[in-house]
Amino acid sequence: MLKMTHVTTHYGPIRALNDVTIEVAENEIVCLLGGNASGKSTTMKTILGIVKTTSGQVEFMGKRIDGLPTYTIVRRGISPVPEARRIFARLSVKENLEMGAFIHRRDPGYDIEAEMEEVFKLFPQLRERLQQDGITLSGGEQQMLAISRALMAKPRMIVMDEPSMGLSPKLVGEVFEIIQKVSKIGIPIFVVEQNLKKALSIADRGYILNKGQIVMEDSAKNLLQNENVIKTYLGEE
Amino acid sequence: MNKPRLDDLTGGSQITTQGPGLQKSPLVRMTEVFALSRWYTKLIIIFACLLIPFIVHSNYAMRVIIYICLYIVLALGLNVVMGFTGLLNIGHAAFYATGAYTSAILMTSYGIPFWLTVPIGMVVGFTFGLAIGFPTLRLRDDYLAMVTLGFGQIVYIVANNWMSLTRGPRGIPSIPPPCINFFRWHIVIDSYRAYYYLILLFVLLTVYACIRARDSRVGLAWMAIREDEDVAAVMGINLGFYKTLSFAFSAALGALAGSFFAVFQTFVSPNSFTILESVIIITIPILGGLGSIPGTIIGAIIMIGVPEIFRAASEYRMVAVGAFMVLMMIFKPEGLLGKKLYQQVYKV
Repeated sequence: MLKMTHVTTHYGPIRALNDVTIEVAENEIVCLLGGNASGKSTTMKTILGIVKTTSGQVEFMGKRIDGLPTYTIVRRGISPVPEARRIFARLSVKENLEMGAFIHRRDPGYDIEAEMEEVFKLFPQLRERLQQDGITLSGGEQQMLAISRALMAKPRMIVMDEPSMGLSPKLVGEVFEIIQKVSKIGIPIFVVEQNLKKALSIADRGYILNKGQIVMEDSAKNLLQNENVIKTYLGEE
Repeated sequence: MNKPRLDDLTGGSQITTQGPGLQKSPLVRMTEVFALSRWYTKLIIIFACLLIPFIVHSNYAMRVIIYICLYIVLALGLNVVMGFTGLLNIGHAAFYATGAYTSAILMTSYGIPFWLTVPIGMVVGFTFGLAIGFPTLRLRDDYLAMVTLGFGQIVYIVANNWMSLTRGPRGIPSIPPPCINFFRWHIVIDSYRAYYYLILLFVLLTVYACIRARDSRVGLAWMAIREDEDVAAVMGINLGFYKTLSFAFSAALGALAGSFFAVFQTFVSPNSFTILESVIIITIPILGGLGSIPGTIIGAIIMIGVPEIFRAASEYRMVAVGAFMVLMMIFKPEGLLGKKLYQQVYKV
């Protein structure tokens, strides 16, 4: 589905990604793990076209997307859940959801009300908060809203940047349960995470990124057992 | 809620807006009965506005009221860029000047009727909006403000120096009053009462345009850009297109006000469009609450009307206005009717 091949990205003279190759297949949860400044967020930004590649290519559904403007990439069906949720603070929950559906605004076959109902099936709490400003939601609810907003776009794939950031351990568990639920709808998910154990426990496959390079790639099970290597590269647990 | 409540990290998710248990105070119920969304409230307001010239007899007072209306149009136009899209524009007077000069030149040199110069002026303003919006797409916040400041100065300097077109600092005098020729009817708009109805028409048009824009998809996109530009981009919004559109829309409304100004003053000169003018226009939506249409209207009434009421106090009144603005910014930084700012809570 999504394929990054030999991607290198620079911020001015600084090389942020070096020869990164990542693949996400259909119905898969793939996680990208790494410590601070390892290039996780840059990978996200490269997929979304916010940062341009210097070499290599990004393919989505068999077509090249690198070099395209962000809004075109998003319209192709990649929906992002940005880092730290970043919901629209002073827009109501409903408006936030409508923003998620923005790419379908000229699509006559798209029924925004029906799509919202679908989202409420996953997150019934949001229904009673429709008219509230996004900022008045709690951290967990904001995360739900951010995921719902991504779902409103009827995405072919969801990319998430650190969904566990700034949430209590209990909430982190819930968020990962939600990710699994969303995956069961049939949407492949690419998660960028620091929380290694949690992420690997729900993922099918994982990549480990260090200093802009992929240093390991394996099934999530194998990665979880391979604690030695993880210790070396992430320096935790 | 059947699910157990999630723990609350950022705090403040307890606010419930509806619910059968909530007892509403009579005052709240009163404001609901006369809410702006009710059709009869709108009708009452429009009717009251139509009656003003029959109640107010002094020419001076009418002049002040006309100025308030003029600034309502200007401020609502600016509110599109600043309040909806969240871009700082310190050069709104440039668009105002564009409309005024377009009407003035077309009417005096080419004899084109006022009613035609209004849409032409708006198109010219729209084009100017595109012109400033397009190259500044990538700029943010203060950088954009600098560019708009510069643009305002450019228009002022061009108007001051292009002698063959604008007559420079001498200005364009004796702009004819607009007239309506409808079969045998021949109405010349040259009394305060007539001017008032003309500007009232423009105000209503502007308010309507702003409400429609705000409630549309485009308005939603603008507000998303205001809240978080980066996320708006990854939601599929073409930032450049919507920002430019916002500038152009705002500029067209500014030009509309300019056209009226030209025929009302019967004289335009560059001195009416200095940076000070832009600053006055900026204070109105900020005072009234960025993004709020009724707030901006109230802001214009306060900013233009109140200094006139206290004209007897001569220069001291400006001190009072200054002090008032400082107090506003301390106690109500979001403006009279603006949405609350969340900067303190929303730190990432």
